[in-house]
Amino acid sequence: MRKKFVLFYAVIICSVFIIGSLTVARADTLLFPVIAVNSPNVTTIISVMNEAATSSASYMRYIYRVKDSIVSDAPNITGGCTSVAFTRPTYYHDLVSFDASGVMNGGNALFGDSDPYGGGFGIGLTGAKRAYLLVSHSSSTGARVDVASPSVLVGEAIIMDIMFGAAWGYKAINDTVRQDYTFDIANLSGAAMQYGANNFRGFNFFPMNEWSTRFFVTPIGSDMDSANLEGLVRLSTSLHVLNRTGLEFIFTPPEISPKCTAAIDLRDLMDSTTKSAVETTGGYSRFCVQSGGTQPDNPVIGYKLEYVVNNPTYGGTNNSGYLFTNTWAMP
Amino acid sequence: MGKYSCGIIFFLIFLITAGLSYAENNVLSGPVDLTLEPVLSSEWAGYIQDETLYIRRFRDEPIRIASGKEAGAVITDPHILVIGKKVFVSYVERVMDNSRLLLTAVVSDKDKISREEKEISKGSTILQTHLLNDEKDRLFLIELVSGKKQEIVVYLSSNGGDTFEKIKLETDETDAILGLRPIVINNLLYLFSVFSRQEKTFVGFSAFEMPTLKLLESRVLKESGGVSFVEAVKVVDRPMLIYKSYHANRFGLEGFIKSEGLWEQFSIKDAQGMDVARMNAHVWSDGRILILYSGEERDKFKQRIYAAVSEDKGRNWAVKRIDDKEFDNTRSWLPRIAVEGDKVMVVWEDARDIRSEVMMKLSQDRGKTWLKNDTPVSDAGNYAFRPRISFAEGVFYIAWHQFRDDEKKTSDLAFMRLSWDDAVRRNSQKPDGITNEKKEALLRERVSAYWKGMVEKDLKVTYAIHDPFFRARMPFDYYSAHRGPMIYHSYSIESSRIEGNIAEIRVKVRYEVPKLTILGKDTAIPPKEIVTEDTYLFIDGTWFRKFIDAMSGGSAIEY
Repeated sequence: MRKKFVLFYAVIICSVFIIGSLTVARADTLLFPVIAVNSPNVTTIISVMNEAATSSASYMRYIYRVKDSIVSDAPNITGGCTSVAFTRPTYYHDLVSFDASGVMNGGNALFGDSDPYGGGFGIGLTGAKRAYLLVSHSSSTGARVDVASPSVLVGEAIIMDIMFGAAWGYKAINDTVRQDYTFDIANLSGAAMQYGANNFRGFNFFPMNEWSTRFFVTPIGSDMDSANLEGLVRLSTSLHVLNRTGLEFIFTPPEISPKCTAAIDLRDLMDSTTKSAVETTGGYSRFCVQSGGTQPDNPVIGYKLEYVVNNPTYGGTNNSGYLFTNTWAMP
Repeated sequence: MGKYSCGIIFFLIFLITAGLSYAENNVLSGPVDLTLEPVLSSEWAGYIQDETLYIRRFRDEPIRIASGKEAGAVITDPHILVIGKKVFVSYVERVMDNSRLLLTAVVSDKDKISREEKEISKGSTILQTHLLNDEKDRLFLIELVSGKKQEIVVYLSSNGGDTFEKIKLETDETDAILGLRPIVINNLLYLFSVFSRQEKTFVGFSAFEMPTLKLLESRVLKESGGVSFVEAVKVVDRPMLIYKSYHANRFGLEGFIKSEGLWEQFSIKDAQGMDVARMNAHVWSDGRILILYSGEERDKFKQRIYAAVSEDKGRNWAVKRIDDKEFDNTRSWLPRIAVEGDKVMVVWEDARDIRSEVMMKLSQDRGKTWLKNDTPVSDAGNYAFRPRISFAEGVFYIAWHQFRDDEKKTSDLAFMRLSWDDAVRRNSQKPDGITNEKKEALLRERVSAYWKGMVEKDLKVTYAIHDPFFRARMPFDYYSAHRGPMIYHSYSIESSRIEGNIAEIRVKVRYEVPKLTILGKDTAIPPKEIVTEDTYLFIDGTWFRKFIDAMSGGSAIEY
């Protein structure tokens, strides 16, 4: 009888351990979809606020997925990323800001933050780089740690040109259900777009002989800490490009496969005939996510940036960026 | 008076007459609306200035055709057609969905100008118009209008534009007509079109019999991907359609020609895979076809100029690249052609010297061979673009837009006339070049001067070395006030690579930022070394550092 009693409790205890080990380790994770650095001019200032109780996680894992901005004198759109990762301590209501280029304050926490983080937060590479950043709760060894809620990390980024003072910024993306390195479009409150229903966003563009228009695109999906996700994007084949009097310019839009993260110039999304037709007028089109390519249909998060060199007509130099893949102002 | 004084006087006389000669062969009108490309037909050019449509013949004062301000409308889609002494100008007065199509006939005879204006149509949304005539001098004004369904309406005049008959054409069911090109051959009006039907795109045609324009035949020629342009050409007495196609992820140039009642398909093989921006064609009376086009291959080379010749009605094509630049890192594009007998003059927009100019190429044997040099015809100091060319009464006419300065804000219509002999003379004068060694040495000198200026904080020097298009927009005061907090200590040139008039330079610099205020907080950057990569442009005989916005990659010049 006693033997059966001991065996029974042993089974219970073992079951608890087994069930405990089957529980998936979770951490709240932030995604900063666009990081741009190019010393000494361009940097990205990242700010992260940790609202998770201390008992749940004492560290955060920072993973940059980074690549060269330019390869062979051309924008690096289809190149993959490599990881730069490190772990830093944190605590409840810790706010840390840092320069992703690692130049300001040696990459250490900025603005007189005296917390002993034990190291800097920069990418640690030189030259013009493009990246995205994942920040997640972790153990001291960098393994993800369970926290109480999937929405306790808050982040912001400002991309700055120190020389001219231009800047644009965005709020970091947080999956409201998942806490790992997978970002599901269904949980992003409409920040991303994908193939299927509503796979396009309309946008206006100014005359290309004066203004530059670029799209910063980051495909999202599973295992963003290690995967080189690809998207497939192009302009619309139903509306093509319209000029300012409603005239439609028909063409077959090139399909572009941004990998990891990429900056795509509007000019590269048109054929040369269309470019010559709207170069001096600007117009309207739709940015579309397509199905196909070498990977499943990954959604993308995208920001549109417009720039003009000091033109008095527009009040000077303008550098304006905004999230255009959101669903709030469709189409 | 000494012998030297006479020489000086003669030299001055030569300079003055040369200048007058240049001025005599060039006129400017403006400022013009540069969103509308120049219109040119025979010796008449058309342009819009201050919302008003003008035409002008080279020697004469401009003639005002219509004012958009007075009409409370925007003038769009102008066309010019010259038949004898009459100049027909068609245009649309656009008022949202209630536009008017108008035609003005101008007769300019010595000092007398007479004009007659007609309202051709009103009350619809006009998408496109075409103005053409046939060998019997019948005049066709064709409009594509949108409504519940798109319609094509022809206004036909058999009496020199005195009266017009309106004929609505019978067309097949389509979702939308995306492009239209008419041509009249042997009493048949052919309408070549790109259209969509049930979410597919097709090229096809309809043929209408004169004079009633009754539908004779209508046919889908091919299903195609997005067709960026279609052109209709008359090959002796046969209609030919040429269009930019897209199949299996590749661009191409292909077409159809009517032959013995059948439509034969052809393609220009050497254009396969090339993104052709635009083409222009000429056909001689013996059926020789010459097509000029510009094309690029992404990630390989920017737009180049090609001549394609066929002597067997499009079955076979001999293609030759005709622009003569060493590197393809700048674009040469949008060619236009004019012909006098066997003599061919081609002009295009060319950016090899960074500041875009109008370039000319000549052939004396119908495009079989080409004179070696590419000859600029626009002034090197003005950004020139979108050239047109025509031939009338022994003279070639070229019209283009050109900006008044490097700020590229205000442009004029430049109008030039050129005889063939003058063109050949210009072509033979190759401008003095600079040796590669001198160019490289000059580059290093300029780069050193720039970084020396950065180290010594001599902003006047560093500003002056920036490209002229940036400086035209950015005054020195603004530049100097936005230099940023960096202090540079030293530099060394690591490497340089020159391709034509563009150079890439790598420079190692040592800099620091003693104090930097961001978001209201002070921070600093300790001394460090980095390698910067800059682009330099060879313009006006020297090198300039290209301004590139660090965040967006944008700059003040495209090439």
